[in-house]
Amino acid sequence: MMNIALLTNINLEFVSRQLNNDKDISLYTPEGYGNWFQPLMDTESFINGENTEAVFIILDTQELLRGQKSFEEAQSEIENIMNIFRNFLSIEKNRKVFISTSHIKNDRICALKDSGEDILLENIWNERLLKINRDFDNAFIFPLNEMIQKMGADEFYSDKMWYLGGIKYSIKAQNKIVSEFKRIKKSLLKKRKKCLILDLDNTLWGGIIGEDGIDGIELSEFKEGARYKDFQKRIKEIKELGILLAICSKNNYEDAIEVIKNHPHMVLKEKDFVAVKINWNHKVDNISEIASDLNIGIDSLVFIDDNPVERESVRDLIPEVTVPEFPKDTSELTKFIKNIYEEHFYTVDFTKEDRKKTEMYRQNSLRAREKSSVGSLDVFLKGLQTEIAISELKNEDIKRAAELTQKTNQFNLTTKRYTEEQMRFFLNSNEYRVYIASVKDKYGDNGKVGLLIVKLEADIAYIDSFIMSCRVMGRYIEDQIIEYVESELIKEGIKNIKSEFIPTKKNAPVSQLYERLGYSVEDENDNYKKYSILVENVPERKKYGKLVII
Amino acid sequence: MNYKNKIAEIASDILNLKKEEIDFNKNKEHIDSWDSFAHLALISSLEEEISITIPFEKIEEINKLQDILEIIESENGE
Repeated sequence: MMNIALLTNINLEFVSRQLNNDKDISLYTPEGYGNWFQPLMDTESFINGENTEAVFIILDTQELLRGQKSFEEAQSEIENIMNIFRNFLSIEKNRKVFISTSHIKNDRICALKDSGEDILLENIWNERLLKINRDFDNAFIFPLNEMIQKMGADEFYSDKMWYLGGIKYSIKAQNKIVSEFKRIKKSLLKKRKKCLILDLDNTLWGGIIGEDGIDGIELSEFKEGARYKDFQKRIKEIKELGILLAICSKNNYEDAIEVIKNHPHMVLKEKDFVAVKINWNHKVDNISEIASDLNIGIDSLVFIDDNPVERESVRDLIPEVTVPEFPKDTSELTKFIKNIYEEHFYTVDFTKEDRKKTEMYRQNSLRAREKSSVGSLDVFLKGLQTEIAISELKNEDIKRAAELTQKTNQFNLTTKRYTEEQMRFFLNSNEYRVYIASVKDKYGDNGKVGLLIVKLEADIAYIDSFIMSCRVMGRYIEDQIIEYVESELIKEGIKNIKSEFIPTKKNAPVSQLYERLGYSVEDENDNYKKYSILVENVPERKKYGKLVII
Repeated sequence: MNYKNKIAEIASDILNLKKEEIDFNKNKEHIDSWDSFAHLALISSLEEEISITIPFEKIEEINKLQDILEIIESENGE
């Protein structure tokens, strides 16, 4: 609970009604409208009596200067008011005082040449106020002018409300003022979140490092890549306010860390992150580990990821984590991160003690950790309504099939690259079977993302290529694809299936795939691992999706 | 646009009434939360949220939600 006082020279009835409905706030307003002045002069009788922690002084400068006949008079009135503020601030050192910046509604008709006095008065007010903000630790700016600029004066002021009820600001405007109050309240009550967890691919940069490489991702000072660089700049600013940053990304560690260390436009550096989880584990596990490593509550985490499936899995399994929707239009990343700041990390003041606390969290993360148990991944995967449609390659799939062999680096067991011509050869050959799979789930259609090429020789089948887009990795979709292919091969009279893993810089995530699928290693060296399985030994596989055979 | 639904929605918010308590023909004298401030807030919110105009001269004549609906429909088309 927080005690606040609202002193204003205009009717902010709507604001005070809304604040009175907030159970965290106990609001004090002086009797009668427009009585802002007396409490500041006579602190004994008003504010001292109340246990007020924060005083909000919201003044409409046009009303304040209404009686002044000349520019000089208006200016000296501003100086007088500023002196009242200074006096109050020096007496009431233990209260936080928020004073509004000035905006003067411009109704006067005058020649363009003669306009500008109002702007000058605004500037004088704002400049004096900024000086006060610097001079007093307990003084803060209430950004009224900025709010009016952002909404537009025509919408912020309401002539109708003014003439009918002496209410100067529109309901919409008063709602904005209420939001600002609530953000400040959250910050003062230390309810802001502590840690921002970030995905990497298509979040901190454009593209997928495992596919596009360090020279192929979008990250630059200008043009397209600046979306991500600007996003990173804002995140860095949030970090400077004492918010912890962490990474949670499904990637090869070496690929991703190379970008963080060496990309010339990375704003965020390795040392900016208190925890770095770049691996192929489930994000839910990684996020829970981050919370326990840092010894902070799961409910103090905010997680940003462009992938709706990852977001949903986190929302489902650890609902305490805040997971904002990612903008569909990435030119809105700056707006997005500013909203996140205002909603979750809004900071009135960042003190030395806060800085120490941040350091403490950093050290916590180095300590031994306990893996916390989380909800069941099983349940989540079942809830995705995955549908895998598989078919033998057709003419119209040739282009996409060749593309999958050319572009896929991570889930690619042998990394053999094929042209459309070669793909057409496989299609027309009796020795080869090519299967292509598309994947849908409740979030949408991922398109054709899986490819498996088999060569037949008598009763032995060789898996020449097994490829899947990284978009759908970690969901046991490969289990169902291979199970279907195995069953087809068995129908053709195949007795033994052989496969191969050829390691590259990128495909470490599938280095143990065949082992997991029940194949035995026959031959192994630095350049390859060869496997085989007798068809009678093919085990039961995990099934989370519905298989559709086309 | 269905003005009636929108009026009901905004009225329930401003007048602190449940949706089912909204009665378009109940006079404002009999609704405690409909004070002079709520009167203005109601009209202003409607104007801001659905981009319509309620003429200044008619605001004092409003005694029930039905009056608002009729003004909006006659001024702004159905």
